[in-house]
Amino acid sequence: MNSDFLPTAKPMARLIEELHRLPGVGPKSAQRLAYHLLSASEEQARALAEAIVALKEKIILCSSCQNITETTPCSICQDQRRDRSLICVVERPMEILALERTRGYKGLYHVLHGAISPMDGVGPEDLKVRELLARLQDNKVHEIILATNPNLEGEATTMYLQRLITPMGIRVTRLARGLPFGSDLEYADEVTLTRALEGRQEV
Amino acid sequence: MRITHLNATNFRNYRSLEIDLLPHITIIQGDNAQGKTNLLEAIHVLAITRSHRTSSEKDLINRFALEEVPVFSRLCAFLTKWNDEYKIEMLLRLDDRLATDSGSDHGPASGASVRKSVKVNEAGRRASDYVGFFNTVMFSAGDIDLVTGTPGVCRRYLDMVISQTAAGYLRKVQRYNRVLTQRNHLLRQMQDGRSTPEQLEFWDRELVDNGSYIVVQRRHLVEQLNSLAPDLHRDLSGGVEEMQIEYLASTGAGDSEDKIKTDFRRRLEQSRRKEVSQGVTLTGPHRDNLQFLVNGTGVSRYGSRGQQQTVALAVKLAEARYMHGRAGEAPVLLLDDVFSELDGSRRRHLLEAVTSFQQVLITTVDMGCFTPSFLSAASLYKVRDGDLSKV
Ligand SMILES: [Zn+2]
Repeated sequence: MNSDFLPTAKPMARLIEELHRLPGVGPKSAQRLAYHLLSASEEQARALAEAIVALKEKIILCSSCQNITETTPCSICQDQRRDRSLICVVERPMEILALERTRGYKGLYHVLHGAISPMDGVGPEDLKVRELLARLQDNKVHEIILATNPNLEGEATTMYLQRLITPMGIRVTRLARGLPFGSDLEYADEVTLTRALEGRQEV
Repeated sequence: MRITHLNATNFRNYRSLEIDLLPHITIIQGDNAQGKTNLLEAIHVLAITRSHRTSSEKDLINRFALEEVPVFSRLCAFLTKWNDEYKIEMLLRLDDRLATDSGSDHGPASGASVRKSVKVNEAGRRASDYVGFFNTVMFSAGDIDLVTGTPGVCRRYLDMVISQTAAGYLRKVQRYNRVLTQRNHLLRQMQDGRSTPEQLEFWDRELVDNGSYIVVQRRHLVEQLNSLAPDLHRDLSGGVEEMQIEYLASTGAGDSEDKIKTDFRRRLEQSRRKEVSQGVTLTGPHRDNLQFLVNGTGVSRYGSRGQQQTVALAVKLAEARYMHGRAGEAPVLLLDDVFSELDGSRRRHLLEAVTSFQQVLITTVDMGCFTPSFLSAASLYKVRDGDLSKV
């Protein structure tokens, strides 16, 4: 237990500890949040708790694109108006939201759930690569857009996938440069993303 | 370039420090542990965004300020550069939150929860883009470590100088270090069969590309220092000794980027098996070293302390001249209590060499180090327990 925590009632200490585990929440923020929740109404506290439980109980991965969803296949995979010859590969579900906001992309997606990073113990076999390859078996996909993050780990992942997919006779492209290096796709604005999509190049 | 005004809040033993600085020589006298070095460090930190004395940035924050909310330390200076005025500012904040975001400038190694931000004329800058905007050269008693210390000291020295003169160098070094960490992890995973050699390809390419750039820059700097240091050394040593810096690149003796890349790649291939069994990358600029020769003999091993000191001093003076030439304007020189250890003749030569610079800040315990005529041309200050007063 962190020494920053003051001795306090057990349920309080437990909540602070749980909040402290969340990314971006330090000991002081955790305390502040916990005291806030203590003074919140019963309904508000229950609503938050139920939302968190529902997240774990109801969210599943789409059997096709591996995006988080309530039904599988997900609404994007089911949408018949979308271009099934095009798959955009992203690291995380959040990036699909960013790309959807551009309204310009009409293909399908595939979520890897990470990027190759040996120091974090993440290799290709820990990503949803096998699931991606399975989707390419029926020869309906003509182009794969690799939209990993513009950092070392994203580049390593892009190179790995390109080596794997190019021999299958499928066109492999990646987003045009112009995204600031080291920045996350998730935070790129729509104009930048649209331009990156339109200007995509052969790997 | 020169600083016209310095303002520090909660930095080391200063709760608040304000000083107007004139051009030419400023001498700050004080007993040990009163804050002389801290003042020069403040200026140096403003230039390179890190301390030459500590890797723990929390140490830079005043210990009383650590009890307050928010915990911060702020450095601000007005700088004259090419007759233009700039306000440069650096804020260190102790962050409540953990360093979890990987997209920041800090890199994974920082670990500490101190957040740095830099501003020029109120506009935020990335530290890696800012370094080099304001140039200083710090002389301290620890400079001798460059000659006698570990290879790591030499590499940090080269990187510190180059990051101030070559835009983008710092970012390459950061990228290289991350590649190195990733590659070493991969080698260890290959050791117990959790990964395959094909996985290395990407990291090898990045290692060679970024590493070769670093080697080219380091080789260039050593050449430049070699064109300046021997003359300065001859003056300091009374004209009888010839010094030389040798750059011992782990990738070999090649000097063009292409040759370095080829050699680097070949060495990686040759040591592949050894690398896997040891789980570390054995070739690359992280293994570079410098050798300092006087009359052809390695001075770190066989030299006297006086010889080692003279070589270090010549290298620092060469650095100052090189920065001057490179930036077109003289860097601010910071001399932290370096005179007391020098004998009369080297003291005289050093004073002579520095008077030609636009702004020089000198700290000393003993005013007797300087001649009356030198003192009469200087601005004098006294520092006591974090309080600075004009003499
Ligand atoms: Zn789906």
